[in-house]
Parts: sequence; C-alpha cells; structure tokens
Amino acid sequence: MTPAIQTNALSRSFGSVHAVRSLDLEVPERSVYGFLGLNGAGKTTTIRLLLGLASPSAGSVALLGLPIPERRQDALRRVGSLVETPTIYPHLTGRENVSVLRRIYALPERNVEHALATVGLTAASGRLAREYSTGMKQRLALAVALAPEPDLLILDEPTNGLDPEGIHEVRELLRRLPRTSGTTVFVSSHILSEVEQTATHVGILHRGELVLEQPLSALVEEGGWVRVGVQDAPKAVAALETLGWTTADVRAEDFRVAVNGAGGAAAVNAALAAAGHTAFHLSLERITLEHAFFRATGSRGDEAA
Amino acid sequence: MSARAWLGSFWRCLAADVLKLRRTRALALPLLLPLAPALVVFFYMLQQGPESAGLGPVPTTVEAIVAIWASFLGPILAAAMCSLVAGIEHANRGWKELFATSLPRSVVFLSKFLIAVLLWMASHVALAGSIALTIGGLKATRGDGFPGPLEPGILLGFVSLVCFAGLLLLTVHMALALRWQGFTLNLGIALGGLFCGFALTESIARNFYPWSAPAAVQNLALPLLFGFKGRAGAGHVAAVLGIDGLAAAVTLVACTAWLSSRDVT
Repeated sequence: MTPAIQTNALSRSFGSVHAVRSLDLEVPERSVYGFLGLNGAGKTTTIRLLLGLASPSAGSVALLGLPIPERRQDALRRVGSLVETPTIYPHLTGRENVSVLRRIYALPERNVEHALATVGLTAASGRLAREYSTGMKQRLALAVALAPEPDLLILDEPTNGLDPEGIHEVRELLRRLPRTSGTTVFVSSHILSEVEQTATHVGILHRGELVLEQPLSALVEEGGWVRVGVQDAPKAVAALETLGWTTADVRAEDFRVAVNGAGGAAAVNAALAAAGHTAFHLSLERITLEHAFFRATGSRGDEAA
Repeated sequence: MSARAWLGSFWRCLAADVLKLRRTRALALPLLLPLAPALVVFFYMLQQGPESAGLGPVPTTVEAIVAIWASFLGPILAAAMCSLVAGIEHANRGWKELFATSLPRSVVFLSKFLIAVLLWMASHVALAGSIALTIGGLKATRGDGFPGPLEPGILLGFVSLVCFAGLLLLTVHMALALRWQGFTLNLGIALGGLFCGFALTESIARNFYPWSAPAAVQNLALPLLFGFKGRAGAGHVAAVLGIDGLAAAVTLVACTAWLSSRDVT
C-alpha cells in the first residue's frame, strides 16, 4: 500500500536554525496519524512543507504517492487542510465560506451540504461567519477542508478553541473518517490525551527531528509501570535498584517499577521474592502516550515517572 | 499543466474571488467614490457661470470632474481599493489556504489582479454615470438650462481612456497590496507618487509616470474628443496608452512571478 504521506530526509532551515531535520515520515493509508511535538518542535513547518507552502532546504515529499512539487496540483486536489488558525471570511455566511472552495474545485452543491452537515453547521449556515463562536469557526474550517471529500486530511491543531463538546465531536469525526470515506487523517497536536483517543499511529517530533514513529497500539503495549505494595518500600526499592530496575514514586508502602512487556509484573515479583520481600499488591499500569512522549523527547522525565 | 487546465483553474479562482467580494468595502468604494467629484462640481457649477472656462458648460463640467478624478481621487482609489481586495486574504490569513489548494499560484495572483482591474473599470463606469447625473441635474436646476448636448459615446470614450491610462498605476498598487498587508504603505506611496508627479508637470515623462499618466491622458484626450483640435493628436494618445499598457503588462508578469516564488508566511 502506498503511504498517504512519505518524506525522505526532509529538512528546512531558517538561517542557522534547523526547524526540521532529516525527517522520514511514513503515514499509512486510512490511518489517523497523530503528529506530536512541543510548541516550536517544527510541526507547523513540517505541515507547510507537506503542503508546498514552504520549500524544503533538502529532502523530498510525496503525498498519496505523488511527488511534491512535481505533481503538486494533482496531489493537492485530493488533500484537505487546516493550517494553524482557521481561514474564515467573516463577511460571508457559513455556506458561502464553504462555497468558496466549491467554486475553486467546481464541486457539486451536495458537497457543501454534506460538509456542513458533517460538522453540524447546517442550521447556522445562513448566518455571517463573524457571528460564529470560536468553536463554530473551527468547525466551519473543518467543513471547508472536508468539502472536496479528500483522500488525505492534514489538520494543524484542529481542536484549538473548541469546548469539550466540540472536542468530542471533532474526535469522533476524525475517528470515523478512515472507516466511512477511506480518508487518511494527519493531525498535529500537543494535546497528548486527545491524540491518544483518536490516533492509530503516532509520530513524535522533537527539536525538528522525528524521535518516534509507530502504531499507537504497539507503543502502549511496549511497556509501562508496575505499582508494588510491600511492607518496607524503601528497602525493597534499594534491593531492586541494585538489580538494575528503575523505580519511582516511592512512598512508605508502595512504589512503581518500570517494566517492559506483558511479563513485567511477574519478573518484578520474582526479583522481590529473591531479595526477601513479599509483595502484597502488584498492578500493571500501562504506558500512556504521555509517558512515551516524555521518554522519547527526554523532557520532564520526573513528571513522566 | 496544459493551457486549458490553467485557464479552467483561473476562471474557477476568479469565481471564488467574486464571491469573496460580497458585502465588502472593496466592492462599495469603487462604486461610491466617483460620486464625490461629481457632487463637488455639481454644487460649484450651480453657483458659477460655465462661460468663464471658455469650453462651454458641458465640456467644462466633464473636464472638471474627470480632472479631479484623474489627478487625485483615482490614484487614491487605486491604492485603497487594492489594499481592500488583497486585505480579504491578508486579514483572514487566507493565502495559506489558497496555496494549499491545487490552484497554481500564478492563477491566484492573476485572479486578484483581474478583480482589481474589473473594480477599476466599474469605478470608471460609475464615474461616467455620475457625470451624466451631474449634467442632467444641472440642466434641470440651473436657470439657463445648461446648454449643450452630452454624447454618451464621447463621455464613455473619454472615461475609458483615463481608465486605461491608470492600469499601470493599478498594477503597481496591487503588487504592493498583495505583498504587504495594510493601507499604510500603499496610501503612502500613492500620496508620495502624486506629490512627485507635480515635478513632472511640464515633462513628457508625466505621460508614463504611473501617478500622473491618467491626468496626462485626460489633458491630451479632452480637446480631441470634444473636437477642439480635430483628430491630429489621436496618434499621440494611442502611443502613450500603448506604452503605459505595455509597462502595466510587464509589471504584472514580473510581480506575479516574484509573488509566486515566495514562501507563504
């Protein structure tokens, strides 16, 4: 299967600042790909490079198997996007805003209706966009991106400004799209919990470099923490640490041990027994995306633990 | 991309740009501003005898309105209107969304230029209409009946020449407006350009200087069209307009190429 997005050693520098360094992205078709990074990590620059809004200093981009910029027009005809703040013309109604794209692509009117209905704006479509709330504007921008029924949707922080209900709706929409219309969704965000609930694959960008890229399911099954209850936690911790285990969150009668794989809890129990400690409680805490993120980026290690 | 596909993209982009003009000042200003010189001249002529100008009442009225327009209000309108047209995208950060579509960038910019030209032409149609209304109003209100016919063909021809002479000016201001957001730069350059144009009053260069070309063409064309000097100077006017038009075309191509090659911020 051709990846929906593929970059090869993609780089972009601004003077001496390397915004994106040798990026090798591979976004599978029909996936929801969460593109994570701290503010300033290079997410928006990457999206600009993908869409041809900025030229790379080195490397190449292919969208839906079509090289950019050689076949930019053919590729972008099949791509919907939302980059940074939504582009809404406040003097036009919601329907007219979507109709701008309808005219550009000579789309049938039903695409406008369908896009407005998908984001729940049919009833408000006759109102001027300047009267919309922030969340409604965000949803309208999504309707504009969805109007051409794209094969690939590239979204930069699409839940910015949305209330919890709006976030929930967008999340459900993004989850649904690959199933219902075969659309691949590439969504950048710094809200880890949001991506965790939506994405099938994640890529983590740190200081312009891709430090992790894999299916979310593999990531969360890779390891985690075992919370251990013992009589004398500090002594048990000392014993485990001499054996090379990593511990954290030590209290009087419990602590956490970092483990790899599903058999981690049993291994911890065996190690404790060998050191003469009896565990009265063992529970596996699966690794969250947040743990994976901070482990991959090497930041906030304490908080992650 | 084939020429046919390019042209198809261009018309679709133009249709989208026309839609974006709805309820904007970019659409209202060119239609309303031409009323200003007409009103000024109407009230002036209501009090003054047209004989003092020596051309006859109708040519004097036409000349007065078009002179105010060509030498000052037209260039100011060009600057303001271009800023408003480009501002639709600047203010809403629309460039990135436009360039993230499959439209070639040249199409996006040329469509904006054409929108500006269409609005510029509409403002001159409104100018011709306001001149006709002014003369009609003077005929109805002045005691002497404001003698003399107003030939619609001559009026439209006169205004069209001034309109065409302003295309170079319009192209320069549109290029500035597409590149830089806001009114300040464009209006500043328009005022500076008009001020510097005074230095060229006696020079042949005023025919080709963007901010004085409309006024220069107005001066050249008025006696021709109203039959004061026969048709002897027609070739001169055509040459001036040809050079101005060519300069506008070269500016348009160069600016489109320059703007299209830039990264989108």
